[in-house]
Amino acid sequence: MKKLSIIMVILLLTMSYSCSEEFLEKSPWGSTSENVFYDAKGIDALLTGTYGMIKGSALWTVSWGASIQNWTYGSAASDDAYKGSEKTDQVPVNEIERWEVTTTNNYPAEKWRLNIGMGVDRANKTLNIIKATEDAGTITAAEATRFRSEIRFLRGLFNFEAWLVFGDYIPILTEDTEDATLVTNDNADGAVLNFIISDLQYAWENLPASQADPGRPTKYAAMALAARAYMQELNYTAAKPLLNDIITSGKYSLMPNFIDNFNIATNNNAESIFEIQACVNDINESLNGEMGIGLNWPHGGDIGMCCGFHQPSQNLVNAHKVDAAGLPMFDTYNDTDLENDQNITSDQTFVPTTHLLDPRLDFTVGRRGIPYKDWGVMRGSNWIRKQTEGGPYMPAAKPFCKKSERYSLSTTTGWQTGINANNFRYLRYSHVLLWRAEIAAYENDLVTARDYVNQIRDRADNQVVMGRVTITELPASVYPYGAGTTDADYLVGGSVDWTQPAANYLCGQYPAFATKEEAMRAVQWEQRLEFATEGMRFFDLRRWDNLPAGMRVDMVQTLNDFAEGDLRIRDFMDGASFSNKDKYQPVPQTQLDLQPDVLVQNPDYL
Amino acid sequence: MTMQISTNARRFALFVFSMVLSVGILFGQERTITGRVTAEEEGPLPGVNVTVQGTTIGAITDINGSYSLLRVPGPESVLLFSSIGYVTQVVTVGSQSVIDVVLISDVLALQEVVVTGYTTQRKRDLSGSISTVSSEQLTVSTAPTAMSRLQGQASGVTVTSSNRPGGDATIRIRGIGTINDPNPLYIIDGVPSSPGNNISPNDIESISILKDAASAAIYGSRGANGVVIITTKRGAINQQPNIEFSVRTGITKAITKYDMLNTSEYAEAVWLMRANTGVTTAHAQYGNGATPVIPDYILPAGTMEGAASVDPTLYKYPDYQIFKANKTGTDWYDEIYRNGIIQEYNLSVRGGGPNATYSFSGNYLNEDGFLIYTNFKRYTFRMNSDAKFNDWFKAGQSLQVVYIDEHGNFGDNGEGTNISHAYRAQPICPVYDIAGNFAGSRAAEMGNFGNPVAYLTRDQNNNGVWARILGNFFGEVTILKGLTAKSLLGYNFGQWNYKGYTIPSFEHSEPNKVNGMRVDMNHALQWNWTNTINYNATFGSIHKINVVAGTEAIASKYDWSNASRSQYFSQDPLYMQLRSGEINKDNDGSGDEWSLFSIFGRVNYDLMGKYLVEATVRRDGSSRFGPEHRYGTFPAASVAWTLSEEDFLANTNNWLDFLKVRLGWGLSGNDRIGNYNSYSTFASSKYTAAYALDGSNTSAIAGFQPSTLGNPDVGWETTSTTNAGVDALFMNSRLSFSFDIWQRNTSDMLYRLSVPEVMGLATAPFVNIGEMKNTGFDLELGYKNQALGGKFTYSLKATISRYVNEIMKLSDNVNEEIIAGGQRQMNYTRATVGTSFPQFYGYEILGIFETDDEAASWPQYGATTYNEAGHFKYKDQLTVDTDGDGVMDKTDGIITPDDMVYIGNPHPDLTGGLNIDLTYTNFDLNMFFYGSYGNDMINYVTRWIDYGMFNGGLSHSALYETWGSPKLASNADARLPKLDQESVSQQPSTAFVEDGSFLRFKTLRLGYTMPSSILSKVQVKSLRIYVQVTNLFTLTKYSGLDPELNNSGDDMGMDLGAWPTPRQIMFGINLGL
Repeated sequence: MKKLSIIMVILLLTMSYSCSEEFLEKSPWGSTSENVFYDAKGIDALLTGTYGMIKGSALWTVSWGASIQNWTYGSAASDDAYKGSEKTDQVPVNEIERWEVTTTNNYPAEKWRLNIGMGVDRANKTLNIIKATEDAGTITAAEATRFRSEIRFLRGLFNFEAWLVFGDYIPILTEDTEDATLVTNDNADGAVLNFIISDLQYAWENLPASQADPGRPTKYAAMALAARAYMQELNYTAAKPLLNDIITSGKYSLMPNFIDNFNIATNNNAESIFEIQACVNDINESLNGEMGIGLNWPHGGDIGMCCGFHQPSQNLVNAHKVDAAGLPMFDTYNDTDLENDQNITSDQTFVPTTHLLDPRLDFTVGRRGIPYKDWGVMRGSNWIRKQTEGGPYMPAAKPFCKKSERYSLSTTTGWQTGINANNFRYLRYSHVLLWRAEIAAYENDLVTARDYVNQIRDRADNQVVMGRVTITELPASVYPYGAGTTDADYLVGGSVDWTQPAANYLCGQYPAFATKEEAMRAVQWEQRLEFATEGMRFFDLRRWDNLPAGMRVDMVQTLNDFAEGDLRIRDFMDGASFSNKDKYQPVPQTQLDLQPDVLVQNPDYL
Repeated sequence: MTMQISTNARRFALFVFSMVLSVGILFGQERTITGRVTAEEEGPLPGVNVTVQGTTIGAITDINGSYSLLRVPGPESVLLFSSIGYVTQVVTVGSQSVIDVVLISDVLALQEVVVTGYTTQRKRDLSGSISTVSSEQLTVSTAPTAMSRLQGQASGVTVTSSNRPGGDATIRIRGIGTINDPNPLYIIDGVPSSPGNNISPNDIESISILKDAASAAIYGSRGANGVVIITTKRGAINQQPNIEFSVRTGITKAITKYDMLNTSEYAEAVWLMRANTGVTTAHAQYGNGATPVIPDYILPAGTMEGAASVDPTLYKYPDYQIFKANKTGTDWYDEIYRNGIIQEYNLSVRGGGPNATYSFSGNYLNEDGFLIYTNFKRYTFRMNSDAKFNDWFKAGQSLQVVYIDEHGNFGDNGEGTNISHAYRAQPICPVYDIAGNFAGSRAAEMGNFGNPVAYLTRDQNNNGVWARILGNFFGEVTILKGLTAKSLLGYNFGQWNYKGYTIPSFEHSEPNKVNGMRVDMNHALQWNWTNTINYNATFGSIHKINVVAGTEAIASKYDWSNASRSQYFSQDPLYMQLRSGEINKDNDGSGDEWSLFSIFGRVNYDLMGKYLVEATVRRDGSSRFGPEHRYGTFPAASVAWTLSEEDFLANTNNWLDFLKVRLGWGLSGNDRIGNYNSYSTFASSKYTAAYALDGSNTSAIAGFQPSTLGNPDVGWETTSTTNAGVDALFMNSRLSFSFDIWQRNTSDMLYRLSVPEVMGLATAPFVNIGEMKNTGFDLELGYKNQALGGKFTYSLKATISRYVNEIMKLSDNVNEEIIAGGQRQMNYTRATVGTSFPQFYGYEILGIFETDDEAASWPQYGATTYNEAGHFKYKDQLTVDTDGDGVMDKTDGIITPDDMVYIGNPHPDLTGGLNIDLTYTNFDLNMFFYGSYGNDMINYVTRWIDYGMFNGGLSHSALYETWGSPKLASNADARLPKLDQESVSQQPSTAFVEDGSFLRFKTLRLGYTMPSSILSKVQVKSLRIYVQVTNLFTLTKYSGLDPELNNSGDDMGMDLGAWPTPRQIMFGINLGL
């Protein structure tokens, strides 16, 4: 009997288990289903998640190819900058720099993935939840409009970024799209721009003029982005009223100094219309700073970060030459190169140029013998990853932090140790002024064009890089790699006269423009210098290629001339040739393969 | 080290002394027994081992078959008569003083009992395909894990192991059954759990490997990739305490390194590279002359003795370091390699009384890696016991506790590991700067290697601690004769803690300058409750039946968390705790769980010992699938026919002892797809859904993002296996033969369909869509015999395995490809319908252009200027279909990614092991060979050292075998393209594919067993000493460190710089009391 009872107990227990379906119900931890988002708090959380994408990177899913600063497509592919570093590192960017992009290049694929795959998709999912929540009466129409206006601004931005890089060959995906996989990217002319504008127009009509959170767009941010989109198409008529509204709002002004646009201390300033917010040391590797430019920091030497990419070009440096009046040398600037230390080691004698220079040069470019931010005097080849391949200049200086901000405002973990809290001024008042000046030039409104350009130049002359090296044969001990905690601590010592400008700077005012062609050339030049290395140059050349003769910049000739002249410095561009088909990046092959009868390739890549 | 041994030895001596005393007391009533052993139909049998069970008292029969045993303890003593080829006879002494026995020919291995799913069977009665490995076979290897020691011991099982200390093994049974997790199911004493490196091989009694579905279907949804059943040692009823102590110690050292250039050769190579690329600019270190000048110092770059900048008074760490050039060249491998010490101590006590058995064991393994500052320690304790309460109820338990404590940097097979940094480092760089701090790539033009000595040194306090408790309780009731019911409750608890430190690396070109610390923790608890009923009966003496039926419930929960901090006031590891870190306070954690409920049954029917039939079915319900697809049923059946029992083969029994043919078919499943495939979820993320909306410089606001797309319609991945086998014994069982030929078809293979990015980037769900096929055979051959009147015995055992893996379908898109093996923006592996998973993919190289004219007339590489003398001539494949018949029949005249093709296969054609055992009187010699034939490898390391990626170290070949090198008599002899760092030359191609076939003499072991006549005088049962050497030589054409590479999955066969197989020289003592 005892035996039986033991068996019975076992059997009963077994039966009880087999009957329990609950035993096989296991729900995921740490995540949730869609239904928790149907209220204002939920929508706000999804909205924040969508904002997260405008950083232009997302952990390792997308990284350097998707940078919101477009340092590859907008800068390294232009005459402003090189890929930099070594030719064996980040090989796909060689193709971009040399205009030899293949459809399998993973850099454009990342740009696509971030903007179309993550950005637009998140925006659309959020829009649908906004609608369902509004329909259910859980949020008011006013709340819904507030959410919608922000999310549509973001969707406009994602599509704009994709459009810049891929042109019209992007699918138009709306919140009403039932099956995104069936939407073609073979669009009617103007359809993509119209879609971008429709989002931005909704945004500027509904967004407030100012926001408590500096990271959220205002109506002027939407107008400025729309204006930039119109400018891409040279639709000056449509851009002009938007720019006028921004100017007349009186809300924005130029900061006193050019460098204020590139310092962490002056994030979100009076000149800012929309900034990409960066923060560091909240998570490992500080990937909420901009990881998209995570490679673009000084490599080796005393600064020692990663990985020496995105070095300014000799051509850009030459473009900063000015004449005795402090005005650009439009026709002769690139005939000879300003003295550079290519081929000279750090311990050999090098005398920096005494040529008159636009003062913005040394805020943009780190060159031998000139203080590099507050990191001490730039030491030349020891601070460059590989001069023979990346040229003699330090990675673009604008996004870099100050030495005094290191660790407190730059990442302390990971290997991309230059990532810092410097916001990227995506849309700023100087953009607005120079675009407006461009329209004025086109319209032969020469006074307006001159006034706006001169405002920018006046500001550029306000502050120059200080600290002139006093000896030219420079043992390592000359260069302060000092200790200290403030800017003042760093900018002392060494064989440097800190009371003198680092070079001979001059930035003159244009007295008057004789013709609209002359005005346009000055405006274009000003845009190049003011926004150098900020990922705009390539796209600006592309649109100016469509201007009428006289104002037109021949993009093919400009870039091929650049490549030829660049051989004086390095052989990287040897044999590279730009043609019209290189104006846009190809649709990623992987996406074409996944949607073979839906997506089409840009015919230039067939 | 010596201190430790001597302390341990002293303790041990004390222990042995006390044990010997207590054992001595047990003896009494001794007497002498004599007798004669004959063989059936053969007459006197020499060389038969006669021993007293449970003691070391023994003798060997002489030429007349006579023996004499002295000091046999008492009437209850049991004598064992054993000889190869004969069934062991067991005789209880009783009152006899003369015992003659007749041994009968043994159909030996077949009497062996094999552990199968939920029960045991005699080997001769098996109809499925099961390999077994004995505890003896597990001593052939000195690897720390039992799974590594399976290599070459069982056919159909492919084993590769990591060479890190405590390195674990990767086991594949009969190919790769799925693109998902192809690991087998492991069962340890009835508890489903992976042994990893947690089980002491000394504790294992046997390992059964269920290879076909007919055997594995009893494990249903988890059996598709085979089942490995591990049974640990237990005591025996009426066994005297059996005390075994063993110790082994020895050294491990790496015996291969890359052939790198020294400093002056490296400088020559740099000048060759400059000549090849036309660069005329100054080199930061070697100047700008016609020949390179080797500087005295490399930091400051290129300086000579006497320069102001190298004045040691300027030195200030870390701001101003000074690196002296190493003019002869740093041998970075010599710097990181060392002779590591390995020690293992094992103590066990086993025995039993009339109603209970016990087994206690403890094991301590302390294994240094052959890279500096790496160490693995393992402590295991096991207690197995059984008790018989009465004639119908017995109960028992198993308990194992393991504690693992490992230190150092174990990074393996990656370009960022220290094995790799050692080839990425330049020879001119010293290990230390002038003040004894580390030197490194901070000096100009040094590339971006990390000083591997520095990293190994700094990581010495990185500490992983793993604790695990594993075991079961069971009770068994005999209801009727032949009918038993068993209930087993198993548990498996593991806790992992890791602390890793970041110490600033100022000498690095991409330094980390802020210290930090990271903690990882997880724990997992799994329990299973298994109830089985077993019925055994024989009807009418010819019908034998065995039925097993049962239920099983399994549930598992896993919980993880991690945290990190930066900026510590002090770098004392005791100080660097979570609470003392100042910034970057980052924490994370989550977990998951799953459950499974099953009902299963199996029937075996045996007619006259000739006709065997087995049928199995299991029905599983799993939490991993949506409610509609929760349950799956897995049937299997097999039949076997013992032909040698048939009358028509009666006249063969002078040479054929046994012959059986087997045929089986079955279904089994794979459910390892993660736990929540059916749920669409959103998740918060600090990384990918966060934004500093408020303008903060130091914190972002976390939002939500789409996380996973669910698929409630997904079901099991199902593998059907058909197996045909034959087992035979010949020549008095001296020759054994077992052969299986099999096919496994996986259907409904779970595949994460690539979702177009327009659908968003949430993780796509698995769908049941793929198909995979594996075919192959397993062969086991054995031969054993003796000579010199039994003084010399020899045996050979060979295992040979072959599989061919093929993807039959991935998705509805026939062009669907799995592209993987990504390194530095290039993908080396690919898989699609018709290929193995995976294969290598790239360009075919037809040679190197000898002249620019030849290059110009060849199809150009894209829109580049790549084609020139000294560069690779890539094959322009047929990529154009001119007549629209779907067959490519024309080249397109340009080299593009379209011209990439499948260029290699990492799967071997054959793998095999050969064991040779020789004994001569008291000496024994074991030799073990293992080989793999027909597998290709990607030697990714060559991209660094032959092609000069990133200005790292360069190989001898980079200078001596590249096109255009002055070292070559003629460019026709060039094996490599010209040294110019050209990235196009580094594109995946046949240049990176090498034959990975090898034959390795893995083990040589020589042992000596002290004669019992001597030992019995000191009351010691047995004493054996041995020396063992591993990895004596390797025959291979592979040019990397080691052709035996432990990586699997979609980048199988890619060598990124892995810890090579070391040589170990081991000395051991086994002592029985």
